[in-house]
Amino acid sequence: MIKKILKGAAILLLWLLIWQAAAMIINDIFLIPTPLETLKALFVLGQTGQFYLAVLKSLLRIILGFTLGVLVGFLGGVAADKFSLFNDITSPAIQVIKAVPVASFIILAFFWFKSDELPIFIAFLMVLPMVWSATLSALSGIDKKYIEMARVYKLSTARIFFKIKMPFITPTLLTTCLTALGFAWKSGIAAEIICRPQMALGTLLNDHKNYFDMPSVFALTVVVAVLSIILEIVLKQAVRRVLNDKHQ
Amino acid sequence: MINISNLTFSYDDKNIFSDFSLEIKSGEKIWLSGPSGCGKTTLIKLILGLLKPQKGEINTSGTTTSVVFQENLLLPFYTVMQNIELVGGNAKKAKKILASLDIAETENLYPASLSGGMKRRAAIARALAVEFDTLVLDEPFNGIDEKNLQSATECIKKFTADKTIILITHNPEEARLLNAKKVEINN
Repeated sequence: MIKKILKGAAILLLWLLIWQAAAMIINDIFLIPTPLETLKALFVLGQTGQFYLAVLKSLLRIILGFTLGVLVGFLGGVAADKFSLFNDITSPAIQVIKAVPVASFIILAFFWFKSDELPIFIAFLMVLPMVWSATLSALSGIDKKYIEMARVYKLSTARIFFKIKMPFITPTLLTTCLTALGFAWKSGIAAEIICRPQMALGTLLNDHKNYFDMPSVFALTVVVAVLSIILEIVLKQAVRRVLNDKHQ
Repeated sequence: MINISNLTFSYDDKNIFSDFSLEIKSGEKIWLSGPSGCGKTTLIKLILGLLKPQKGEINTSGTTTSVVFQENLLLPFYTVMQNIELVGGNAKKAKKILASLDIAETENLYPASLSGGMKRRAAIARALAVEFDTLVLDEPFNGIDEKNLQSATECIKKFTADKTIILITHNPEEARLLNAKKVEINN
């Protein structure tokens, strides 16, 4: 364990040194501030209540969009597996959502939603097709013989779904959610940068960019990255716990 | 009693049964025999209601059926006992069956930790632990060694004394051990 921590610290230190070296070579704070300048900017940001509110509201918006995306994506995938006509009708829409770049959606949705709602919608839109497709493909991948076996023993449709299908698709669903969370976070912050809602990390990033305050832009980027990693770790722990419980 | 009359069934253009009839009396033990691809497993699926006859009728007159499929079909995320209980198996009866199949210790184990033969016997235990009138056995002893074959057949005989058995096997010895009467399927 100590060896692992030391190794992690050494890798982090190496990257900080590379950053420091790059900043020293370029020697222009407007292009690349040093790690120390970034840390100072982070310290200044951390002294304002606005910063914490921005972090909290960004987190809430993106988690809300992610949760909605998971719920609708899961239900949609289940319905698409059950009703082939529904799958035929919805499949082109899911393919379009997957194919269109997130920036296009942000610009489009800019006219449909209030700036406060847009990041929620964008996070939702990124997660929806991933969870939808993963649910559909995991459900259709279940060996039909298990379902036939359950039918012979007259298990109800609900029991077959919750006791057989769900345990089969849970690992795929959880790992997809893990990937989708990263996408939701990045696209949500991107939406905040473009639509500038009140109290948002993206808005702060945009504001500091406009003031050419590069150390604060770097500091906020570090915060975005660290929060993303923390969210991923939390979800990964939950996923691991669920999978260990179900697949001993 | 299971009554199959004038059954016709085909997969796309491959005819499996045409005007096939068979009567299986209550408590009868039969061995469906015939070359590979003659429709033994298809007939079982039709009896179980997993396939619908294109013509003719299959009357199972409300009999409850339990089955050992060709594959074990043990759910990997449940223990052996949980697999049995999921399909309505009685835990007390299941313990006795597991013991008589010499796999009492597998009750709380997951299928992944069992050997091939143990999985097969667990699948047999699941089929025997539920309430049934007819037991369908599709190659039930695949993967079970000589030593355990005897105890497996003895266990099946013990828990199916007055029940109907429909057996599919390529091994006449297994049919003999279960006292099953040969019914040739050859279309």
